[in-house]
Amino acid sequence: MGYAFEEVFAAEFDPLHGYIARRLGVSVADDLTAETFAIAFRRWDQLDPARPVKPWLYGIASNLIRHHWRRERRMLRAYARTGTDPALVDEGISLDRLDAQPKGARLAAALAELRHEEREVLLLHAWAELSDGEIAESLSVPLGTVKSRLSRAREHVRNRLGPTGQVARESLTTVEEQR
Amino acid sequence: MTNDDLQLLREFRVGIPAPNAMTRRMAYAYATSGGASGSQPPSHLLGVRGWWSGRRALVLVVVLVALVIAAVAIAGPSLFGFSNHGTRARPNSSERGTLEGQIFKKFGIPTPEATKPSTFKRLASRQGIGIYSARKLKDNSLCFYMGMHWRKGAQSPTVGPHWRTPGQSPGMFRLERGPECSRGPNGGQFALPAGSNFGYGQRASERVSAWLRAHPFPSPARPILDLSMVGAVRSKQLGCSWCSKVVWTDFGILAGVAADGVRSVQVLSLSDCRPVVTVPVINNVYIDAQPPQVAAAFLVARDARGKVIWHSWQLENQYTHVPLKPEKAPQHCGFQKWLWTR
Repeated sequence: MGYAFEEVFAAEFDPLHGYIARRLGVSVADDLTAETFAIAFRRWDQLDPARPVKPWLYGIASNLIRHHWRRERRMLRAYARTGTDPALVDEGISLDRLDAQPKGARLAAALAELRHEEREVLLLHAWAELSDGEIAESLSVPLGTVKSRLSRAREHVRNRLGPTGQVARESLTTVEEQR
Repeated sequence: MTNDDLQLLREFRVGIPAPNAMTRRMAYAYATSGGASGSQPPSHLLGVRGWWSGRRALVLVVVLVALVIAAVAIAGPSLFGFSNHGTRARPNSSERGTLEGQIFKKFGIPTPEATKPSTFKRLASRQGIGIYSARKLKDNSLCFYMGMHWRKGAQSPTVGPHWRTPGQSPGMFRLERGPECSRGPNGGQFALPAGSNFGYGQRASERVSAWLRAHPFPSPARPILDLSMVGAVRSKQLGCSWCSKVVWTDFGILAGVAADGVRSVQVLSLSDCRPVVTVPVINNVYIDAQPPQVAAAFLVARDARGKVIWHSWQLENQYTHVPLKPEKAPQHCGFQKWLWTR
């Protein structure tokens, strides 16, 4: 028995919107989430009912998010530099949250330094809560590639945060200059 | 990564709120209307199954097309047509202070196109409001813009008294709109492809938005392309008891472009579905910079005979959280829901 679009939309719209909003801000999330479901609707006949729909949906979203990687990196760097998260400030969201605290900025710096492919895998794992196999399916890459990217990303974040969550600010500057 | 670090990552930006019901509804409408491509949804979602159903649908389409052609022939001006070719607007360096120049800078028309200003046309300028068109270099698709037309130092056009002008609220309010271009009024962050019709404005601290339809313009399914700025009316201003605490849509500027067959555009009031403002379509453009502040139910387009040939979705505001009382509220104005635009 196949999936009903309406049911998938009802179940997955909010989580997908939240995932994109955390990466690119609410305004972009409004557009990209709608576009993701528009593409999904057009390709609904191609969906294999025997396979989970969530990786397929996040794969579509990842392809759309990929066009905004510069924006994502810019927002993370701005957060790391100023301590104020543009993703929250642009939407008038209260800063009295974890993200306003120093470790939020340090984590943003660590994420900004990741390669886009590694950040993609890490955030699909942490925010979208996809398994390694589901990430591989959504990104159409081998499972081994997912595991290695995830391992590198986690190691990078762990090293940057350090035992006290401290990240070296100069490392961010170095990466910016190199690019 | 330790569990603590993973937990830190999971809490990162966790404060971003969930989308509201309006965003969900608009996204669903956008997705199921074919999105940006305008392609048809899968047949099984349309309820069309099997060879016979497909053939019946084909026959129905042929009949409908014949009826539309006959209706158009009788009605006179075509709903496919758009006769206003505009006049050339040259956004050269000496005109950077004008709206034309600003549009090139702010709306992100590709630079190579700026060297070919022949694609950039002024369709009309009335009441201080300018309506423009330009073709995108990438796919030659037509883009439309609405903006306030004034020069620095000159008196700005008067807008509805309940709306703030940029001078009154700098940085808080954008009066320019360009919903038919992939790069819209948000300076490139607006990622919707051409073919969709999404617009938003900002009034005081509230962001308002609306998606109207995704059919190509001009066409019988989309005889007008509305560029209006819409906002919110609080219920205490409506004078009706049933709509307590509800926030409704009103028009700050009523403007847009229309196909040849459209003679007027109206706003129907929420309280009694009567027309509260009627704007004539002149040279395919309608503009009213000061529509009355009334809670609006529908935007409708009428032909030369006064017949409603198109109406919008029911206008509503994303800040509406209070359930309606349908037994008292004339919500549909006699329109069949299945005829609502998709």
